[in-house]
Amino acid sequence: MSVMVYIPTPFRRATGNRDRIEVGAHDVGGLLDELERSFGGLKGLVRNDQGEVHHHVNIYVNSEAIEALQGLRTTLRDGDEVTIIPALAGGTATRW
Amino acid sequence: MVAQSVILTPDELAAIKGQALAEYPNECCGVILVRGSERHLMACRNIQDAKHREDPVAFPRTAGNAFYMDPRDVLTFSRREAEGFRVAVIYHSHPNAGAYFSPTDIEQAAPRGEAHYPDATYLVVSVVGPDVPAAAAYRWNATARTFHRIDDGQLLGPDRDSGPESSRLMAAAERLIPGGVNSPVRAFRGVGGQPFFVARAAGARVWDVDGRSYIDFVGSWGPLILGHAPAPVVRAVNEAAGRGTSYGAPTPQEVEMAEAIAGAFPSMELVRLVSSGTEAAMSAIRVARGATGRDVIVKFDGCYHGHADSLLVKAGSGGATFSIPDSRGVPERLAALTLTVAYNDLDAVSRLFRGRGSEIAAVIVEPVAGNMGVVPPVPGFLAGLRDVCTRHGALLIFDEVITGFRVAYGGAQALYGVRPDLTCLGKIIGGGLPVGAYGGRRDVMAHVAPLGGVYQAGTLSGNPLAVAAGLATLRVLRQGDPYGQLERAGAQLERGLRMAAEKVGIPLTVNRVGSMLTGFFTDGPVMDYASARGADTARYARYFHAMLSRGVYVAPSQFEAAFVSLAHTEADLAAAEAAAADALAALV
Repeated sequence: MSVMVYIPTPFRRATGNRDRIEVGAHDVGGLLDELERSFGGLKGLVRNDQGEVHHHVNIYVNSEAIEALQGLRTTLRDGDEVTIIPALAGGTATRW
Repeated sequence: MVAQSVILTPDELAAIKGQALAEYPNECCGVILVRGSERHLMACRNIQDAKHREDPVAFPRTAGNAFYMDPRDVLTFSRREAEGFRVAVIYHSHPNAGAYFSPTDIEQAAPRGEAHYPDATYLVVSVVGPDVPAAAAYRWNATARTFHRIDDGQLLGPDRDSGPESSRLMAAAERLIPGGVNSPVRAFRGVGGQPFFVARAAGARVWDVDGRSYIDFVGSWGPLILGHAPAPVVRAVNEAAGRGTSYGAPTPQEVEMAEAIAGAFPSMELVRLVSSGTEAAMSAIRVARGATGRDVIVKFDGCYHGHADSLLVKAGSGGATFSIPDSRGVPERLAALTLTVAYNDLDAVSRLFRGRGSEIAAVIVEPVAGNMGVVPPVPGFLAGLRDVCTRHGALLIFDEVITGFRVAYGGAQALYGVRPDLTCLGKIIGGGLPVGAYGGRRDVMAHVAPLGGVYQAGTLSGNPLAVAAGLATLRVLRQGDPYGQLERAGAQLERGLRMAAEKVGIPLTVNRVGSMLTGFFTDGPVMDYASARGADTARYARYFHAMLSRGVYVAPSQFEAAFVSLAHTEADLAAAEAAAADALAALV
């Protein structure tokens, strides 16, 4: 199963500045495993030590948030586009 | 009005204030996407409330959690990056919506943590009435790993506008030329804003297409040691053009040029003319590999030797400004043959040679670094390189594209008394036309075709116009005491900058060798790429625009040199010093 992953600016430092990466995986969890294997720098950026996606990270399959699908078990089909987007949030004393 | 370093038009500010008032008491947020001169403000939804209801612990209602941009909006603008848009501004309205915008508020509004978009301006806008431009803008400083405030108390950066005609031309250029420019640093990405388009230049002055004039300390990035359009050079080019512009066959003037170069640089026993410094460095590397039968090259972090693949590794200049250590398109397996070491770190070079000395074809170095800003060699560094190379049978290549005929008639090798095996030249030897040259030890250069098996060629190599311009320039440099004059002018400028910075308490480290200098916005010392990168580039950006608005053109990047020419008069230097004092005072 080959899908295209779109890496937005904030995560590109972990992917050698690549914005599109083709990954073979059956579901979103497997895709993250595969990505982290290829780009060690992504470890900890997308998921915590327990393997849960961080609160401030959103993952989309073809523009649909995975929470509205089957989460990390969301299955992937050939040609799907997956996007990993960190939140932009803030105020006076927190991360942006 | 002093040019601001925040790019926000009055219309955009009004739009953000309107959005903020409409969404009050919730904060508003959004981004401004920029592609060349095209700007697109995208108001985004703040879903902090919904996130709070969903998970009150992770998303408390605090000032620190004032907004949470709807991820679908983030997805939308992220996708537009594929169309060439860049997130230039990320804004939200002030937490204390509508009340006031005191210095304490501004400080509190400073973003915390790491920047997700390190090149964006993070903007906090007050919603106090449409006429109050109260806002604070921050940029990420990658070295200090913290945000720095970059506005001057009031917003609005339209004054960085480059003039209507320049703007029109930039829009036209962007449709046809990548980024609108034919060399990246010209796009002003290192300082923000838009470049001016040049109409003409004479002496130390450049005029743009909108009729504004600037005292020029860029000097076309080094070649114009006599200033713009010096009479002897213009005459020589005109005369040469009348005799034909290119023959692709040998000319008497090429012999004269080779004699002039070899006379000034005794280490260059054989010399080959090419058409750019990039070509010179690329060819010197090929000769070094061909002559030694080894593949590995050693270069220094932040040294730039043109954009040949092997040399575009940890390069300074455009690379330094854009934080691109390696260009895309350079194969990793090729880059692996280029080892990099910190500039001025002789011990590291020695260690490298102890491990891999037998593989190393050459060490290439800017004997005075000019492409991470000016960084002189520490005493013993160049002589130490000479010694290490000799002991290990590697060649020492001096890239004197900038320093050749600049820091002394015989270049840095004359100034520091170190003889390299190969030397690269460019810039001044072309008198403002495209020329490069490489040369060195006779036995090494004997490998170059047609004498030897290292191929290198060029249709326009030794071009008669370029050679005529170069010869005319060198003739002027052999008369009187030009290098004494350049030294005095450089020293005066250095002193002026130091005093102005001291007076207003801005940390500034000025590195200078003769007529090339850089003022780094840092406590210093600056002796390698790492310390150069410690400079406050956001402050430099403000300084650049403050100088430009005062009629002085310095390099649009912290990591470049300022060049003084023989055309800079006492009055030019005094005017530049006054402008710098005024500009620095405005930055405090």
